[in-house]
Amino acid sequence: MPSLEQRSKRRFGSIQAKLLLPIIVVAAGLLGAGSLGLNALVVSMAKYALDLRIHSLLSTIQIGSEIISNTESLGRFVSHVTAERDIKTVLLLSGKPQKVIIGNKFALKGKSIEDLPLRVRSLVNRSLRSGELESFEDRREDRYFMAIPLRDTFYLGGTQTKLSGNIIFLEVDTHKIFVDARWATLQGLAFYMALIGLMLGFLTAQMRRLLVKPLGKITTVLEGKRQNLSDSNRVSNQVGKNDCNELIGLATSFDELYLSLQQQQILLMQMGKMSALGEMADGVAHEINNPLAIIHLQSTLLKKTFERPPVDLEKARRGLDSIIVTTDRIAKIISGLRSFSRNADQDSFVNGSLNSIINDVLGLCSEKFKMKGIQLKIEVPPDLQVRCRQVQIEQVLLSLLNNAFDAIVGLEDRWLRVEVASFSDRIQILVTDSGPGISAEIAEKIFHPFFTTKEVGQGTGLGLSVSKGIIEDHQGRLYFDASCANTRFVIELPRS
Amino acid sequence: MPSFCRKSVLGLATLATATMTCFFLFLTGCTRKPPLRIGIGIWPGYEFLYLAQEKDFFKEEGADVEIVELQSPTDIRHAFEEGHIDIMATTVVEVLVVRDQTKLKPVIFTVLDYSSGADVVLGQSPIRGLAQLKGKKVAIEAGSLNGYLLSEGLKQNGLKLTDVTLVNENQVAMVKSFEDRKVDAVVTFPPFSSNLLKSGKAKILFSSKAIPMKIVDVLSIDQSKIQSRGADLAAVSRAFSKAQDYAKNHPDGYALMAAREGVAAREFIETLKSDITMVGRQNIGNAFVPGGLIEGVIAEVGKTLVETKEITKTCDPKQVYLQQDLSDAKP
Repeated sequence: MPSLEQRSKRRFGSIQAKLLLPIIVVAAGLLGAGSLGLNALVVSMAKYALDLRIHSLLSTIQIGSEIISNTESLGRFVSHVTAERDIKTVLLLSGKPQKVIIGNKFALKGKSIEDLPLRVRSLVNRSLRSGELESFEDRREDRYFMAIPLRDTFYLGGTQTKLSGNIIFLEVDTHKIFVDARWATLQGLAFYMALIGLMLGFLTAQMRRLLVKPLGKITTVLEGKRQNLSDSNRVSNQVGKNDCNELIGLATSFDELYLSLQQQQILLMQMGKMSALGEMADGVAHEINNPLAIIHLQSTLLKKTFERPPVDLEKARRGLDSIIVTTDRIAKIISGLRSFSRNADQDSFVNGSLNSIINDVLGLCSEKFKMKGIQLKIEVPPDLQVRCRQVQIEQVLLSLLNNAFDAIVGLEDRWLRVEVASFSDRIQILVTDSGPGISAEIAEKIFHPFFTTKEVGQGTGLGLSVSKGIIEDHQGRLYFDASCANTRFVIELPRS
Repeated sequence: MPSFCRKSVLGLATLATATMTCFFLFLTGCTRKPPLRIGIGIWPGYEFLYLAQEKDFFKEEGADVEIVELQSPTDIRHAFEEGHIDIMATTVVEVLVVRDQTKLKPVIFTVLDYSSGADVVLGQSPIRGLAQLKGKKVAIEAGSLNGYLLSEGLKQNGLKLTDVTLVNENQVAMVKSFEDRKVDAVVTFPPFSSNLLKSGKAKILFSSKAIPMKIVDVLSIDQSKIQSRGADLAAVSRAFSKAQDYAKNHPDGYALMAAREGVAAREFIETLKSDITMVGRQNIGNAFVPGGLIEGVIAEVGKTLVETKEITKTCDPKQVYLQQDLSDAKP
């Protein structure tokens, strides 16, 4: 079974995960949409840049064709200005039928349009027919083709250029251009992801500090309340005003509630103990009265012995011994009462003899049971040890014995049995009385604070609830055993 | 339920991590090293690189290479300086010019060929020799091997660069200027030289045959990229050799290369045989040994370029070529 701390940590993670999940989903959505948008933007920018570059190139060729009259020089000009990267083919076609007169592929010079590849032919013809720029993009081969007619131009001297009315064909390799665009997208995305990562990290840290941690702490403290209330290190269980945030109010209220609960619980335990003592008052009085009667009788006898010499010294000695033994018994009872009544919630856990604990309790109340003719059956192994706060376990036992007394005192068959069952991992103290058990309806409520079936003034209703708290602080259980034919309560403690 | 909630959160976190990992791996998978771009001009020796691309030899050797076709050595140099290409196929001259004029530090990692007559100084009729160029207009492409070739030629004829009037034009433009007789001589190479010679108007005044093993075509890459692309560089060298082997055994190889040059296959083969010496796989290693051919060429060309004021100072030749063996480099 996971420890309390482990369970709390798991809940931490759970709350954090639940809060972060929608943020991550939204961030992923934004990332997806952002990447698509960014890619579209970068590609369109790359296309725009490409168009600008091509049109600039075409204008340069156009101007060149206007100012250079020599075909060879114009050819040199064209091959030079088109030597830049990504420009694969530049052809100037002229004549009827069209022939390549200038180009950056010398082998094509003089070739008829009919000898050129089909896609070049069809694009050039289309452009010639429309008189406009025509283009198409081959995405599979990363190529962009354009054809544009040269404008009719005249030299300043009035001679028409030889190239007037002819056409330029251009082939561009778009691979690098668009790969560069994709890389730009990737860089943008990396930046975007880093930004989202940072934001998520910041959000997680803030959420943990401001929300999850305080909530987790509240959960931890609430779950381990009873245990932690009795810890010496109580202050650490407070949530604390760690920072200004919406949880301050909650944290403050919680801490106040927590402190109040601590005080209430201490008070309740003390009240429960005093209540048990009060219920034992008759029995305790008898416990002390009987020895006192013995002392009184022995003293009277001793007086008479000394008034009528010769004094029987042996008889006097026996009388004095009886007085000493009886006085010791009273001292023991008083000591037990003092020990029982003090505040024991700061005591540390120690290994104690279960037999001794039970006998101490019986020392306080056995007389009461005897007076009412209730038979006590005690079956406790002599050497059984249990790790506990001894006084608290005595308080629980006393409370159970008192309840049993009240329940069976009016019955014909009156007995009470205290047994101990030992297992490898736990010890059970079974307190069974001759009562017929408890109805399910009442059994549900008996551990609730202030619930009592006794008449007004007879019980506080705190005994069982306080007892349950004490046993749970010992990592044990206190429960009503409904399977037993009689009335049985079981104290279950872990083995030391 | 507490355990359920905790499990849900853990599950979500795991799922998110797994998704991001998959996404990351997906993106990593999508990414490839950018192709190694080699800028080549029109020169028979470079055509083997074009052939290697057309025949997928680069891929076979494990390198992702893209050939960028440019027209003149200056265009290649500019593309390299502007970062459009990673490797330039030029002579040692362009390598030294880039090192001198920019912050880039191109390092030669392989040799392609030696010009053994293909680079020429062509003169208008009736000019018969370089000595007659004193005071004449000569078109060169500044910052290229043209100046070096002309300087060496003039030196052998007792002249200096200052003895002629230099006209800075690219290869395409200088051919036109020559045809229009705006210049008296041009420094050029095939196929531009072949076309002018075919017309019968031009005469070879000087050629690289006179300065054997001095005009060396090489591949160079900026020092900063050697470490990351070492394996690719080794693959490029292998693919280049493979293309040479292929052309020897497959006539279509020469046809492909000639078509790009705009000349007949027979003419292309003729130029290769007579005016250019291709460097075979077995000879590359010898060229790169300390104090070897490359080191000597760099030192000598550098000295001449300083004299002709094309570069401001010479540099340590050892820093200009790669002394590290890349054959074991891992991709």
